[in-house]
Formats: sequence, structure tokens, C-alpha cells
Amino acid sequence: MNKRFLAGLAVATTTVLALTGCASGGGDGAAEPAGDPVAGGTLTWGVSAEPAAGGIDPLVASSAPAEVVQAMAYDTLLTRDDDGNVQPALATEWEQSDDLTWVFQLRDDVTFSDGTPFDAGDVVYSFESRLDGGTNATYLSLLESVEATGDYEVTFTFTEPDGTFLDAVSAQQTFLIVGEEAYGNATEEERQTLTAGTGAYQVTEWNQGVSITMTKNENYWGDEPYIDTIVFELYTDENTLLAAVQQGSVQAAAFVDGSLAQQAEAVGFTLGEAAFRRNLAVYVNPESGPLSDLNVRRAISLALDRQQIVDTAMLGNAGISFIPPAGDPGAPDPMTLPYHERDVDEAKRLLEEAGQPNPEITLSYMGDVAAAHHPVYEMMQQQLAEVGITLNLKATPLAEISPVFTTGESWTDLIAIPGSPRASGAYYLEPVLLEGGYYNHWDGNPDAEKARDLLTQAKSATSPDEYADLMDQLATEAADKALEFVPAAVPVTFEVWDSNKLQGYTTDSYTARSALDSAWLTQ
Amino acid sequence: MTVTREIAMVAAAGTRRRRPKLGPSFWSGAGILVVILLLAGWMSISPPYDPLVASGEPLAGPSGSHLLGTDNLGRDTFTRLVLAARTSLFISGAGALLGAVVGTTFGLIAGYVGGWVDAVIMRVVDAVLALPAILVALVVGVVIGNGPIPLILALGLVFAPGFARVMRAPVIAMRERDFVLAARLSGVRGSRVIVEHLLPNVLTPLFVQFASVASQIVLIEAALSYLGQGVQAPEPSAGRMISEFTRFMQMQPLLIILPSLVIILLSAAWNLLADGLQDWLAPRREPAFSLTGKKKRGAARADRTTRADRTETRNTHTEESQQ
Repeated sequence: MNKRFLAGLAVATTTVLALTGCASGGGDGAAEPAGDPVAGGTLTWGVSAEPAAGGIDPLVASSAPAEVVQAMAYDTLLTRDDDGNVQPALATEWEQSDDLTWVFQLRDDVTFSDGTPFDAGDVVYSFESRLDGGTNATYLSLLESVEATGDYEVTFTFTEPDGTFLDAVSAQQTFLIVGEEAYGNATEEERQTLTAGTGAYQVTEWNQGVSITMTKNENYWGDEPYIDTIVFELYTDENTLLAAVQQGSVQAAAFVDGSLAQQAEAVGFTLGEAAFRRNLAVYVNPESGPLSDLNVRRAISLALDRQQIVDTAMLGNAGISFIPPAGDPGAPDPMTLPYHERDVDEAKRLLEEAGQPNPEITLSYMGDVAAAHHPVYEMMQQQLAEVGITLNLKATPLAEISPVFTTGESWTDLIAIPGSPRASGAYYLEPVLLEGGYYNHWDGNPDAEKARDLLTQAKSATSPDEYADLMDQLATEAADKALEFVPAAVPVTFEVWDSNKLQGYTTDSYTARSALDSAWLTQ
Repeated sequence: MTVTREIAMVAAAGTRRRRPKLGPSFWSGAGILVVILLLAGWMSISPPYDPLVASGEPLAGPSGSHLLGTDNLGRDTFTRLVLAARTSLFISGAGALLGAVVGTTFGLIAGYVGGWVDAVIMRVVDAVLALPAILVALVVGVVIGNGPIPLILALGLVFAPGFARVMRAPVIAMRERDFVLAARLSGVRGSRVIVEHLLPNVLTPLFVQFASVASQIVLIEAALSYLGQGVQAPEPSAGRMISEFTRFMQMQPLLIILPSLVIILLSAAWNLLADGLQDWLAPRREPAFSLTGKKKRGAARADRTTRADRTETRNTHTEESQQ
């Protein structure tokens, strides 16, 4: 009888699925004329993940959901516009007085949300606390000292030139500035669950597993924001989030899965244009097996039809990319890089030359998460089969893959680990090429020597121009030697919003939701 | 009264009622399985499309060239569904067979030998029965990898104790019977007594148990594949299709309705087969569900059952309800 019950349950489930599947809500896509901004209101925004370890502590937490909240609640010395140009933020002027010294002039009209004024001491405190075991401390490995050379002037001194510093200091989620008093006197729990920054909105309540509430900062130094409260509601299953969007339970949402965001767009929501800043990186272990041969790696690169992966496997929700991700400011055009275009004959010729016309290669990927990326790996398998390469897909639980990127455990042949945006191009290849990097199996391998030299030179470039030039060379070299494969790049999240209700919002390139500072809700 | 005895007596006396014909439950269950097997044979020998390679527009609806449409990578859904059903049928059949072989062996030994051997075997059986099948399959997957063979091993071994219990009970009832005693007194070895004299008399519950276990394995395989721990990509699997295509539920609902139907169909087919076999081999009780609607048939026959048969029936159904 138990079996019959189960069978009956299955019938019922299918019926429900069929009904929900067929019943897509209606909605008109036309946005009302914007009109004048109105103050007030509560914006409900659906998200599919909440901050992980470290909560929203600006010096410790680095999970993607935490970074979004941090970017709204805290400021950095500099920032960037969508074209990648450096813009002032807490600092009004910045100058590289010599190869080893940067001087920043700070705003004198800023207060933290708790009312304490901001000055050079807070900047010094923020950087020194970060150096003392905070996240991204490795980005400051060349920093010798940071000193307050005036009430509103800070001087950074380096032991060697640091080519990545300007990028890092202007990334909106990297070197967040905290208040010496507000942050320093807070308990660990307060740091992880509430914010006291200089940003337009501050976290006033975090109901774990349910929602994060951000309230307008009355002491904000910029233009006063219109929206009073923003609630990020958690829907861990994105299909449920889509249902919430269609029912109108949320006025905006962020999806990891682009096809769900497209479905939200189909019912009248506006889909933001997000930059492709997240590489679906496939790391190589060339120590043994077919991938130790450069020709085999090049053949793989040539066998990939990247456009087909973008159009079919990702349903258009991705972009062709190499390293760094195509959506990063200053990233080279992927179409100019070697082996970007499919060439089956050349791939077969290279395999013959390598003496391995039919190599067998294993690709491990996270089988239990990021389902939206799985078609990419299945399509890679199809495409590689056409040149004679057998790609064995190994769906591995995240729990088994995570030791690779937490402790540097080894893997066989290829492993797919979706990346996250980084502050500067050099940081993408650091873990692959430099000693101690979690994905580094290239020590002593002559194929990686030139790339390693270029990376080292870029990191100690004396000027932003020199850095950009070296990074271009490095991107070309990494593609030429096929040191890592990138079948496609995706945005961190796809944002959709109801433009009848949320006005003046646009997606920015940095997942910072900075346009919420000036958006408003129709009453 | 046992099946072979009954057959022998019918043949000898010619006065008893003949065995009833196979009922609609059996034929519908067997029919579904045969159709799936035929389709699977066709897809294995000369499939219309390569199941692993794109053959049309992604997420297309049913059309002349693609009977059931295509999936998100443009692969033909019909081909993949039939292959998924084949995989599921293979895993359920092979898993139940492994369980039957292992379980029956231990059940017969325990029932025939008795004493401490029986006690030890049955305590182990009790212990294994306490393990949830899906958990064991997950652990086996982690230890020796995922895929059809580890699944068959894990599920076969998890379901073996059920067979052992179902086999043991009728053997205990039968081992003191005259024909067994006669065989033993004639000097027939124990193993031969078990195989030649006891096994043929306990096949009824074995067949029924086999089909009902196969039906449970279909559901467990689907659940594991849904969780990504069963059949691995790119091999088609109904459970994994449902989990993969939930994303496209609103764009192409067929993509999850069809694999759900395949799972229901397979599970129902095994169940119907079990019911049909039960009705045919031991028609002595009111069927819980009858496609013919002749509710009196089983009840009328119940009067004629012997004590041994009742023991058998009771034991069989006790085991089923424990699964």
C-alpha cells in the first residue's frame, strides 16, 4: 500500500508541477514615465543567498552576498564608474608622488552612521586592522606603512612598487573604511550582524535565514537617499524566488540563474545589464596525463565553440571570456586572444602532433550546486568529442571539491570552479601561477615560466599604464599556453526589478547596487 | 498447500478448480515493461538521434522531427527519455535480482538449518533492515563512486534482508513436512533438499517480493539521481532530468512532466506485475485493488486455503509492510 501511496504522490506532484508550469503570470512590460522622485517607502528585494562565514564584518567577510551589503553600507577611498574610470569617494584627490608613495586627500564632511566624524585616523585604523589578519590582506603584502599625514591626508608607503594598488583601492568591495570608534568598540557579534559605516544604507536588523533590513543612514554625506528601508528577503530556492517575483511579493530580485531572470523579464520585470565578471574557470593539473602536453591543451582550447556555449548552454546569459573576465574594467577583448576561435582540423592536427589522437580527460565539477552551469560542461564534452577527446564528467559534491580552493588539495586533469570578481586582473592568475597558490600545479613547468615572469612584473609595475600593458601581455600568454580554460563568463547575479514601482534603478558593473542610493519608489 | 503440490493434485485428480488465468494487473504491468524494453532496444540499436548530441533548437516543443521536443541543449527528448527508462529498468531489475539471490540464499539456509545459524542470520537481517536504503546508497556512492553499478550493489544488498525474511518463513513451515523428511531420510544432502525440494515451493512470495522491490528501487534511483548522486551526466536519467529542468519549468513544462511520467509508469508497471503475480500464484484473499472489479473472487477462494498457505501469506505481507 506504501508503494501505491508513493505512486499516487508522484501523480499529484506532477499535476501540481504541470499546473504551476503552465500558469505564468501576466504583466505589462511598459514602464510608466518616471516623474519626480518621491521620498519614502520600503523596497522588498528577493535574494537567493545570505552572507556566510564572518557575516557582514567588513574586514573579515568576503562572500558574494556579504559584499553586496558591505558595498551599500561602507565606502572606499576611491571608486569606479561603469567604464572603469577611477572616481573620488571618501578621498577627493590621490597622487602617486613617487614609485613607492601614494598620498590621498580625504573629505572633511563625512560622519559614520553612529555620528562619529570620519578622519585620517579611521583610514589608518581600517588598513592596519585589515593587515592584521583581515580578508584581502595579501593584496597589501608590499605595503610598508600607512600614516595620517594630516587630519584629512593619508600617505601609503610601499617596500616595492605595487601595480595593483590603484585597482584594489578603487574596488568597491575590497578596502572598506570602518570607523575606529564605531567598529573598534563593537563586539564580534555586532560587527558580523550590523553595520556602522559611511554608506547610504545601514543594516539595522538581520533575521538569519529570513531577511536583512537596511535603513536609510541619516548621517549620509552624499545626497539623501529617497527610499526609507530596503529589505532583502531570502528565498534559497531560485524557482521559489521566481514565483515570488511573479506574484509581486518582491519588487526586485537577484538571480544566479540567468534563465530564471529571463522568465521574470518575460512577465514584465526589467532585466539589468550586468557585466560578465565571473569566469566559469576550469583549472588545469598538468603534472601528469594528457594535459602535460601543450598541444593537447591548445587542442582543447581550439575544440571549444565558445559562442555555442554562450548561446545554447547558457541560453545567451553569458559572454565569451578569457582571464581576466571579459566584464572586468580593462580586460582584453577575448576575440584578440590566441585560440579563441574553434578550429576542429587544427585541433586534430595538434593532437596528432602530440601523439595522442584520442586522449581521455577527466573534468570534475560541482554536481550539487550551480545547476545553471552544468550544461556548459555537457556541451564541452560534446564539442571535445568532435575532435577525438573523451571528456569524462565527474559530478562531485561541493563538499568534496571545496578542499581544492580552501587547502590546495590536488585534482585529476581538469576541475571547474566558478570564480568570483577580484579587485585587479593580477589576482585571477596569482593562485594559478605563484608559489602557494591553491590552483598552482605549474611549478617548474617551462610552459608557465613566461606567464609567471609577466605576473611578477605586473604586480610591481610602477605606473597604472605599465601595469595595464603587462596585464595585456599576460592575458595573451595565458591563452597561448592554455594555462586555464574559460568556457564562458557570467554575471555574479542577474538583477530584475519592477520598473513601475522601483524608479531610477540600474544595474552597475560591480554588483554594488549603488544606484539604490538614488532610486525611488512610486507611492 | 503449496503450489507444486496443488498442481500435482490437480493433474492427478482433475476435480479441482484450474488455476485462474493471468489477470489484467499482470498483463498491464508486463505490457508496460515489454513496451519499454522494445523501445529501449530500438534506441540502443538504431536511435533516431544521438542522445548525447544536439540535434535541434534548444527547448523546442513537440514536432514531427522531435516527437517530444528537445531539451536545453537541443537533444531529442524522446530518445533520452527511452534511454532513461532503460537505465531505470536495468537498475531496478538488476538490483532486485541481486537482492533476491542474496536474500533467498540466506533465507533458505536460515529457515532450513534453524538454531543458532538462523538466529545469527536473522539478527543481521534485522540490523540491515533498520538501515534506510537511500542513505546506504548515498554512502556507497561516496565510497566507490556514482553510477548504475554501485547503485545496483547498494540497493541489492539493502533489499536482500527483505527477501531473506520472506523466504525463511515458509521454509520453516515446510521443513518438517513429509516430502522433505522423505528426501532427508533417503540420504539427500541438505543443499539439494533446499534447492530441489524447498525452493520450488516458495517461489510465489519470491516473485511478488521481486516485483515490489523493483518498484521501490525505481523510486529510490529517481530520488538519488534527482540529488545528483545516481546516474551521472550526460547519461539520461529521469530523476536528474527533473532536477535539471526545474529551471525551465515555465518555459517548457514537458521537460519535467515527461520524466515524472516515466518514473510513475515504471514504478506502476512493477507494482501491477507484483499484484498480478500475487493474484495468479496465490489467489486466496480479497485483492486490495482489482482492475476487473470482481471483488468476490479472492474472498471465495480464501475458504479453501490451508494453514500453511495462510502462514505464507501473512509472512509475505508482513515483510512488504515493513519496507
